[in-house]
Amino acid sequence: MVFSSLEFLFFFLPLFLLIYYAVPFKLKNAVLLIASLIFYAWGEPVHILLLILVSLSGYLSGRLTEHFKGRSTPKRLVLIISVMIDLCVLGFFKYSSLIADTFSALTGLTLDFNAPSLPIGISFYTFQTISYTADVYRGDIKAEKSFPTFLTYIAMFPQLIAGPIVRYSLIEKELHSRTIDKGSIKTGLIRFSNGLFKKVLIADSLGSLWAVIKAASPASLSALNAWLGITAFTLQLYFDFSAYADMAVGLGSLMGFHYNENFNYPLVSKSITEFWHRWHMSLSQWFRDYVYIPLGGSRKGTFRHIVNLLIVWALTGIWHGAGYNFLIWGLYYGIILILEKFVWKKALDKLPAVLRHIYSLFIIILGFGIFDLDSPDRFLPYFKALFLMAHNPLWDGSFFYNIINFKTVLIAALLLSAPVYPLIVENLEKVTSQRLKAALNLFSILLRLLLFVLTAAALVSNSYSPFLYFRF
Amino acid sequence: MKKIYLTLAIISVLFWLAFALTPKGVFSENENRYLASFPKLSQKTIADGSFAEGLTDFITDGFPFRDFFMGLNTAYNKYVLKKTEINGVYFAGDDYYMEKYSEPENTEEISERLNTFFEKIPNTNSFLALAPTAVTIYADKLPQFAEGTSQPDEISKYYSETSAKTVDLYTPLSQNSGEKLFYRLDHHWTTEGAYYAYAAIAEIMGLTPLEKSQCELTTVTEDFRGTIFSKLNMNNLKGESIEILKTEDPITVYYTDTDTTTDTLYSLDYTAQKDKYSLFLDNIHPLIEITCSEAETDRSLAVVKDSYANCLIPFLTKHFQKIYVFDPRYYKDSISDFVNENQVTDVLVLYNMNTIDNDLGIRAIY
Repeated sequence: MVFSSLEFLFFFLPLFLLIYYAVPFKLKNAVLLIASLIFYAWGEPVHILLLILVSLSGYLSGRLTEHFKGRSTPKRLVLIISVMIDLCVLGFFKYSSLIADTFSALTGLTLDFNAPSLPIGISFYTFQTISYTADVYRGDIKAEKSFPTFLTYIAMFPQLIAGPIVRYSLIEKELHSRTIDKGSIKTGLIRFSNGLFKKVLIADSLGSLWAVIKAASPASLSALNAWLGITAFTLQLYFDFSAYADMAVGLGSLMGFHYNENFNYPLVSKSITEFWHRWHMSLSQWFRDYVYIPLGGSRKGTFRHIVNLLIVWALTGIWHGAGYNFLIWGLYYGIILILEKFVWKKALDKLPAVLRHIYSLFIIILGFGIFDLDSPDRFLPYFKALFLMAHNPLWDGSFFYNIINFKTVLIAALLLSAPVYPLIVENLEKVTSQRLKAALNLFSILLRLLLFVLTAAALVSNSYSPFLYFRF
Repeated sequence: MKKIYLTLAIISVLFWLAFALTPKGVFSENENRYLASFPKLSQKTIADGSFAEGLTDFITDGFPFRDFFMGLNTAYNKYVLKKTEINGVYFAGDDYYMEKYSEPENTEEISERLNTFFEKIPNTNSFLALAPTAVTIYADKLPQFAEGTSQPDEISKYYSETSAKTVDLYTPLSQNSGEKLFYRLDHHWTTEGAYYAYAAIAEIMGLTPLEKSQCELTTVTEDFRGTIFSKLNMNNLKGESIEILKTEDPITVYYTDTDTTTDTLYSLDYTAQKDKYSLFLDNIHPLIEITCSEAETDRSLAVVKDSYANCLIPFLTKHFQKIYVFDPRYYKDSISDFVNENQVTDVLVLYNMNTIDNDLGIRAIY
């Protein structure tokens, strides 16, 4: 199930909340766990066993690690086995088809191999389990004693399918005791609806613009249209992904949890280093804490430092999807980050802010071109169109047509990708007149209701499929 | 907290009540399909996920005020976002709503199929007529910068490959594009549009077409909102009229599949329904036999066609004693055998440029 669906918004969520709020605290985790399992099983009933299995392995490793307190060899063995289980699960379900394809391509042998379907959220819950295991091993946290509670932590539906990667230490306390009050519900509703509107009214709409341009033949694509296309995709991805994070944080708040933020206006970054401190933050932090630093980080000399960075970024790339384009995309960032660190950091810092923004956006947008055009015979012609390398026109009618059709959404997306919304909220909070405050409050409620109705209308329309074969 | 809980409970229950009261599994005239019913519940359907899928369809199909929400979304896109198209439909000038033309994918395959078909009926006069649609004829009404259509080029491709005599429908239609040749809210041509096509076809067939002034058209409904309307559902869009040609000679229409005979080409009962265009030749039948004993020639004609032909055939009844109307999606026997066995003198293949490419019937004729 996804959050932006009629069944979630109008059935699952209200029904869940009505039960969750009604039961005493003792039972809240149980309700949450059952709801999460139903939520997960909605699309893939079979893979739920895998989820439980990975959780069980994480849980046992935690308990065993504490059992072997002070004995480093068995402790280390538990850690290695547990992490290997997580990585094997991830490797088999996510990467086996890529590995098989690569093997066939290199050797010319065809394998009789049926790749498994990708279980939803597997990249998130295996990473959460690894972080838990490693944290218990390091003694940063105490192992969770109850398996149902641990399973609740891993399977909690708000963050199960699209993150953020929530560390156990962050919500350990709240797993055992949390307060739900008017304030957390209000915050939750606002955050959730923000995310919902971003996803349905902006991201999906931008997606249709990118779909049009992506489907066009790159040979006749004008350069401006090509730039418009990958810009639309960049915005789509940001709004889509950060919308999920908003919805997750919002849902968490409705249930009394405080999740970590995953995005912090990444598109206004002035360098790529800054971009990765603002984009999908829970993932960068995960790689920093569980790969980069254990590898020695920057402490073992420049050469190792560079190697470590390349390893981390190759992994980051491939985490996003089992394809070589993702690997290239990761290494592209690895190389740029190395260059920023060692070569042009000082020069960059001296540039006027405008140029630094342009520099960053250029790299980010081009990067997402690699990200989404998933094979060389797709992205090479597209990149030629971008840089006018293959007799493509600079602009054409189609470009203007797209601008006319998507201008409203594009302007909204551009404004909201900069921190305009928090600025407005901040200024509204400064209002002191009680009457004005009440009026603004009413206005914002009405605006949200209107946007909610439009969201429902968009979702209903997507489901509306006139059967017009007959149509004739 | 209590207040919040009560509010949530009341809103949810009200919505679920509205959902429960919305009819399920009924036929949606607007979408021309049956809406989903509650899915089958069993261990197997739960395990393979088809129960959840079915439940999703059940919820979305049975959503209260579905048509209203759909229209709201169109209105939001048109009036607030100022878009110039939605769901593959252009918001064109003069209140026209036109289906986009998507790049054809099967021209070669269908061309070959048609040639094989024509080869099997060597003793018959064969004619191929392909109709451009509104986006081509009314290209001047399209939104600014909208992509033009390649329909004329595609028609040429078909015509250059075929052994049949071809009829240029583009020229007579575009020469008269000042008139209402297509519906604003349906993908068909109007009876007037069909007239110009008929005149061009008759000319090529060696017949003398009726003058336009000789054709008496009567309005049978003024509230037609067709297939394009179904993709928009904006209730402020006004319906339009359907005209039919009055035929004077006595006529017998025999629907072979239902074994019914009538003396009219029009089933006017359809004017009370949503799908009003179906009044022409009673919507869909695999084979219709039309006999017009007082026709001016003793020639007989087989028409292999899509629905564009339904409002054009009345014009042809004056000229042919016998007209066999084939819908190859439903007529599964060999049309060429039929033509040879019944010594049909003329064969006309008539399609519009959208259906020729995606119709599964024409792709399989033999």
